[in-house]
Amino acid sequence: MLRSPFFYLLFIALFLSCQKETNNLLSKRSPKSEEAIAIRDKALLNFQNKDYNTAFYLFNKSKITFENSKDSSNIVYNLIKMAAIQQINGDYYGSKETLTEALPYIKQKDIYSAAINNYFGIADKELSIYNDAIYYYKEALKECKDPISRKAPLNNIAVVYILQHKYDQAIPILESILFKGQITNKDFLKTHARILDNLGFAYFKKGMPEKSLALMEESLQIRNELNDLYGSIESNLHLAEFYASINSQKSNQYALTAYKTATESNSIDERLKALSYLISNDSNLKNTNYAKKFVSLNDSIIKIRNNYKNKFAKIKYDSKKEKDENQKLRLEKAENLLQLQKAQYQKIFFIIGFVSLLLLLLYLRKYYQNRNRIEKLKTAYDTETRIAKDIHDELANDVFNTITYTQTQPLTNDYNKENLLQKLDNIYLRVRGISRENNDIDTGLNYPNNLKEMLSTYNSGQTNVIINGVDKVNWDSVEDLKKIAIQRVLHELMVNMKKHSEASVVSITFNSNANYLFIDYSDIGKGCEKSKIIKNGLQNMENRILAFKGTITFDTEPNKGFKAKITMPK
Amino acid sequence: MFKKVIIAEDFEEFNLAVKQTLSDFNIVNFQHAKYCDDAFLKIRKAIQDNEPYDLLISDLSFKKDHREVKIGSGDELIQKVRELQPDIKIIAYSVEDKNIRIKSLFDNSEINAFVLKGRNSIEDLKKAITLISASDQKFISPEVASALQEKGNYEIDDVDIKILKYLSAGTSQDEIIEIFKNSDIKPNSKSAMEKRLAKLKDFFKANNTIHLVSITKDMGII
Repeated sequence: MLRSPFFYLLFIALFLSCQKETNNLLSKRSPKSEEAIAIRDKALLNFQNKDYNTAFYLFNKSKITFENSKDSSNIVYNLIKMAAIQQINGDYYGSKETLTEALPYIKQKDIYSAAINNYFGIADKELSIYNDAIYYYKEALKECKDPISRKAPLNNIAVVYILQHKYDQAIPILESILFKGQITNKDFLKTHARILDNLGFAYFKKGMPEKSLALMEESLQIRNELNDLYGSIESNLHLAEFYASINSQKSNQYALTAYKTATESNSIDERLKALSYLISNDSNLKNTNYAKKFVSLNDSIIKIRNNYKNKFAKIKYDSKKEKDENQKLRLEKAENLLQLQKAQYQKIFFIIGFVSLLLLLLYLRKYYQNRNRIEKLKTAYDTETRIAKDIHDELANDVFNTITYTQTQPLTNDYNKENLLQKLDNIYLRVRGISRENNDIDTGLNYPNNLKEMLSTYNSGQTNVIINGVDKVNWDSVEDLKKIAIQRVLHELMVNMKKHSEASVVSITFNSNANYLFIDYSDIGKGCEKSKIIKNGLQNMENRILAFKGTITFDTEPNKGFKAKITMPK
Repeated sequence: MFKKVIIAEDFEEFNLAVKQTLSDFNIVNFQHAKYCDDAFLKIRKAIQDNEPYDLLISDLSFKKDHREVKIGSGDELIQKVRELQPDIKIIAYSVEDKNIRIKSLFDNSEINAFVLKGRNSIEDLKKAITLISASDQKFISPEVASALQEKGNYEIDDVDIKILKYLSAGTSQDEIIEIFKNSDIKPNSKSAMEKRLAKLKDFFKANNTIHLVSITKDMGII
């Protein structure tokens, strides 16, 4: 099945060069590359054992692995090996495809490009595209500098010329590359036998039988001595053709020898060729057998080769698919990783957000607590200063007057004593008043009654305090602090009334709806100039009501009484 | 007259007045407690010894100090003593002038007298002791007597305002009664109507109905 022993030469050369490179680069190679090399070595072993399927699969795998590490020379080497396997199994189109795949990796003319051209040439020759074959052989020739290595491609070119019946072109080439003198090297001797055989065949075709037979017989002899089985098949077939028209007996003999050797070395093409000579040479009884064998052999070889073609295509396709899938998986993995990272970031972001929110809440709580505390302190301070002022205004003067009175007036006098008692009682009443004003306010169930009572304490011979609607308000739904504010404001209004207005009638009306509480205060008293009403007491009331987002408006004119309207959200 | 008296009072100075008063009545067997807890214990012990007190004179507010107390106010003490010894006579003696609190003492704890601390407190205390030792009558200082009166304040209701509104619209008394009867507003008798009008005139210090309407209009009540 092998086309030419020349291949082996090339293979060995390539293999050696690769090995050398491998050793040189081993130190700096990644584990991935080492794995690829291991696969390649295993493929070579399978190749030598003629397990071409496995070898092809492994070379392909190795190539893909090298692709990842972008090791172009190893990729090319693997592809060349794959192309060789395809050619061995008759898949020439497939081999050309594989070789084309290797071309982008070729960066300079070297041993690899020579091999690729050589394989292209073989493929084209076998596919009967002779001109292309010659072109590729010539390309390969360009890279062979020394006369010995040039012999092989030149021989190949000559073979193509013979196939093209261009014997005049083939003969000079073959004659020029014939070895001169004694040959000792076994490989050279093999090549020499090939050249002799081809030259003899060319002479035969040219119509020079004497010259031809001598050369061909010499070649066969050398080949037999070298035990070059493949070569001997070639020689026997040439001789069979030579004798076909002269001596069918002899022709059959050579053809049979070729057939047997070919059968031994499992070279189907040569078997077929030998059979075809056997069939056409004679019409004896055996012929039908040969014909039957030929047909069955031909059928099976077509089948096997198609099988191989499909297999190689499948291996390539599968591995490509696998590669794509790997890539897809890698992509998915990367995507997953990205998503994981994203989730991680989101988590971190969330935690940061949560923590800052917590800190903010803590800060706000602290802030409001502080503000509350300050407000409480301020309220307490305000109350203290207000009480201090009350004591100063209301009591200190009276107490001082009373002291002066007791110092200056003889108290043995009953009238004076009564006067003193009156003064002291007055002071006592005021103290009680201050105490009452600053008493705690019961905001529970008794609130409305306490409120009424507080207002009613301002009833006197002079003043009637008329209350309306306290019980209509649902006090349970009013906040305690608002209740306190209302009571304090009304108290202040009543104190002001008593101090300034000399009112005869005071009316306080309570009303409410779902959201608001309305309190109207009205008296029939002296009233005052509207411009003068902004006094401390009124300012205090305003502050108390505004603190709960309520409103308070005052309306007064001299001799027209005093009115206050309070609106308070519940 | 009372034989054995206990005084719950944290103010030494005020005790002088009380002691003076008691000695005026020739009551010599009296004891003094500065804390409500102490007073209660003494009363209970006296019952156990079969020599119960027949009068408790108690203040209402006690100053808080370092000592932790179970009974914090005179109100509580009075209530507990009343439960422990129902027949003891009790005089509450305080500067407190809130009607509600005073009324509650009479209603719930059945005190026999309330004496307001003030210029006339010694006089009042004497009157109270004289009165309750001889009878089951109650005594209350005149300054706070209003606490026990029903309707001590001037309160008007929605019906009053309705009447005032109708009057201001020129509706006569009889017509108002008629309207009230038709819309089932009570009271709607002639006498009730007159009573209400009289009350309103009194409250608003009006000389007649026209004056009343004028005043309430001015005040923004109607």
